[in-house]
Amino acid sequence: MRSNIRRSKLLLSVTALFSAFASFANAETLTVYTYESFTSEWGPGPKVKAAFERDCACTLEFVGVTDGVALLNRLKLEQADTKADIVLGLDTNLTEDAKATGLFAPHGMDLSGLAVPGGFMDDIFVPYDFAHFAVVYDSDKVKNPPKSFAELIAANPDQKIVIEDPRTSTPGLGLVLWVKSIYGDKAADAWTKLAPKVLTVTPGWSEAYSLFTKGEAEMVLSYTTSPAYHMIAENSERYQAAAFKEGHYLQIEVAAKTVKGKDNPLSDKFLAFMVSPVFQDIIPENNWMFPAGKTSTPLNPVFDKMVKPAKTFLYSAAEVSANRKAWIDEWQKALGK
Amino acid sequence: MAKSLGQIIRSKRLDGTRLAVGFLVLSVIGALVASAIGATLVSGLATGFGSGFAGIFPAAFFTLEQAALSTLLSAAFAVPVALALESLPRFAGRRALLALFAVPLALPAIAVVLGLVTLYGRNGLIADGLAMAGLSLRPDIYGLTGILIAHVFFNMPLTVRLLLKAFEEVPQEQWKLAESLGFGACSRIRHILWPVMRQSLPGTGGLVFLLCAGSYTIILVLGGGPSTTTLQVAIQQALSFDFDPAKASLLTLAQLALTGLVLAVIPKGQSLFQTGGVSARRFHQAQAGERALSAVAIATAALFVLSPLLAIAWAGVNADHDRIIGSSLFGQAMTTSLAIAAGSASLATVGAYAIAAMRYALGSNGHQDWADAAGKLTTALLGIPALLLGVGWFVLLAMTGRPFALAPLMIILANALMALPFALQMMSTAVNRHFATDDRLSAALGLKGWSRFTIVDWPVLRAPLAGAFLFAAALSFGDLGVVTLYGSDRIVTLPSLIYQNLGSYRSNDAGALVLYLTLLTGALTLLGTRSRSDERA
Repeated sequence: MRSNIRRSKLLLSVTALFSAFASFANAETLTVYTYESFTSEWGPGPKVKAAFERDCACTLEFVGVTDGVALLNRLKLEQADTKADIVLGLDTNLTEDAKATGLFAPHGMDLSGLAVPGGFMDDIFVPYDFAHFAVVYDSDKVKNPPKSFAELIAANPDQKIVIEDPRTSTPGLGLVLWVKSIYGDKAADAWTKLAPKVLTVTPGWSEAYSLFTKGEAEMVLSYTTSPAYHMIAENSERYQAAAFKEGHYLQIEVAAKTVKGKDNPLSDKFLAFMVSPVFQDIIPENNWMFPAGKTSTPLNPVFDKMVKPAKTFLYSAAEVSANRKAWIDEWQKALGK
Repeated sequence: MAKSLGQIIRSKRLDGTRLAVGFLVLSVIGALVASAIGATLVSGLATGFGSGFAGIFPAAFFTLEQAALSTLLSAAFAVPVALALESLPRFAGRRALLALFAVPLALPAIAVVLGLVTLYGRNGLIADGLAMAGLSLRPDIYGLTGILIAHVFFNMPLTVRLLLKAFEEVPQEQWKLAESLGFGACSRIRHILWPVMRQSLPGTGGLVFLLCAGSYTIILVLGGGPSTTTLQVAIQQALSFDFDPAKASLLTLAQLALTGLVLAVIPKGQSLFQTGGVSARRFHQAQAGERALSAVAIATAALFVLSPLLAIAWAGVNADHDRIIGSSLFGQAMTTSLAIAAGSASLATVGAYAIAAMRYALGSNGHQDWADAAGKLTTALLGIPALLLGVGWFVLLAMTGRPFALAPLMIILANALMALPFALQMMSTAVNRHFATDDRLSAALGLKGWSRFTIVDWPVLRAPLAGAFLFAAALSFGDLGVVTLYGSDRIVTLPSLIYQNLGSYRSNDAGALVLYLTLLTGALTLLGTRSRSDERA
């Protein structure tokens, strides 16, 4: 008897699993593809959904994939058959490839109210948040944090850093672009000098940050905003970002409507909502990035303590697209020595 | 004398059926794999293959090097441990220990890495111990060392479990005979256990080799940098930024060819078609010296496997369990993971049974070569990245216009294919012995088809089939697999939830989830071993 109940429960959940996937074409539904940490219960997703649905008498449906790279790949797989009206969570390094798919439509919005360092402008992609890449260190162990990339390279090799792989992760690519911005033709040399300090190279941010908080390395490549999480959520000042004199490389996260989403009136409504204070208020303490637009109230003062880069580096999407493979090859050869 | 397949089918209907069904199952598997690889290759013909195969040779070399070393080390460690566990069949905690031996393979790689560095890392317990002893030495596991430690942690316990499984199938007459001849430990190993190991080790080694060749997170995180790069890293790269599934397919084919070469030179498993009953009861009492040696081997292995597991558990103990378990997402992840595991383990067990029966039919009719080949083909499934299967099937399903509607089925299928080689290895010896023993009796009783299965096969094979099922379920339970490709907010599994937590600074909650995964896998496996001892009681 009991095993029967268990069996039918299992059957039910399998059925639920399948039926959950049988989608229904509903004109009142807006489908947004994004990355998983956006849709997770502690991410901005649930709050964004609630706020948007309050006004629109519609359903906002999130579909979450691993990360920004997987997001673009999923679109490349689906092509014109995609269910997505909006794609949210690409970064500026991916927009060139994304444009090349021909799957995105211009937003036609006035974005002059947004405040992104470097004044990013695009006719298709709308920025919603940003942060600079930074070396985050454990202040219990690093008493004299490096004040520049040059100091990081020249530092004691006993102080290790964990970095991400540019072949498989956005922060990894960000670091390659950062080094290239500072060192140009001498980037390979910089990598060779940095190599003894690199503890290991992980496939993604999660593995790197876990090793770092486990105490395996004194430093990790992360974001200027990372310390805000520890200060607000854990009430700890232990993890800090190092301000580098040369400047920091910028990551801007963007969204766009698809060619399919062009026909859904909710798409434009969502993009406008995305740069409005209601959405922007949710970003800082849920996505742990800086809002691209105005918020209704000032940010938590903790964000004011974050590193304010003296200079912002950002290659254009076209430059990244044209050089990514060559620069990654250079990284691999120099670091693999 | 070897009969032609046609003769077998004509003369022995039962073996004929086994051949036909097994062939059908292998064909379906072959079609599933070939369609995935074919679809991506064809898509490559349309868009052009990505360039940049440079660096493939060093990657291929390192793939083979680390996989071979990992396999040899795992086997060298596992053989004494398995012999020790065999010679001490009844000590307190033996069953629990063996259940925990099933856990490593079910854990997400990142959890294992974090557990291992807690011990062996720069900031690990060993480093602390050395520092306290006044030594300035700091262990550095990043590089080949770390990769090997991790791979042995995954695969030594697996090899031990598979060897013990094979030992359990030694007919009781052999043990009685050994006892009456007054065999000591050495003679027992030489005359009884070594032949079993010779039969089992090649298959087990093949599995381990392929697992290590396809390893990815471990290689990157513990490898220390791009100089320790493998083909699998190149495959993942092709499925990531480069998004070039055709290139990923070509690389996979290269990896399959390479590993195939290695599998081909692995000595043939010398098949023993033993008949007669088996018994967990041993007729010998180990001598004091043998017992002491065994105890040392078991204690070493237990320490090696349990300490990282304890470190993993420790990292998860201090979380807010009420909140985590109470969250609806956790319930959803649990149900989804269990449903996927149940589905893929069922498919894997049924498929493995059909293949095991076919291999018996081939081997007992003089076609041992073909039986071996069928086993190796199944093992080779491990050489295919699940992600590639996912992409390939996606390209095909895209023609139907609604590829993601079938996502749960794709996830279950991919996990089933990955678990199938293990399920086969788990049940092969038992199936061979059972058929060799009971075929004639069943024929004499005129039992056929379903009634034969329920009356003759099921009672005897229930335990090994359940063991294979639970092992496959555990594997599938912890696998991230293709879930990430077909990901959606509606399909959340326990491993994907762990990654979500890690990706949002929530390493504490992730630790707790890993702890639950560990306990659940251990419990599942314990359940499997219990059904087995009930059978034997």
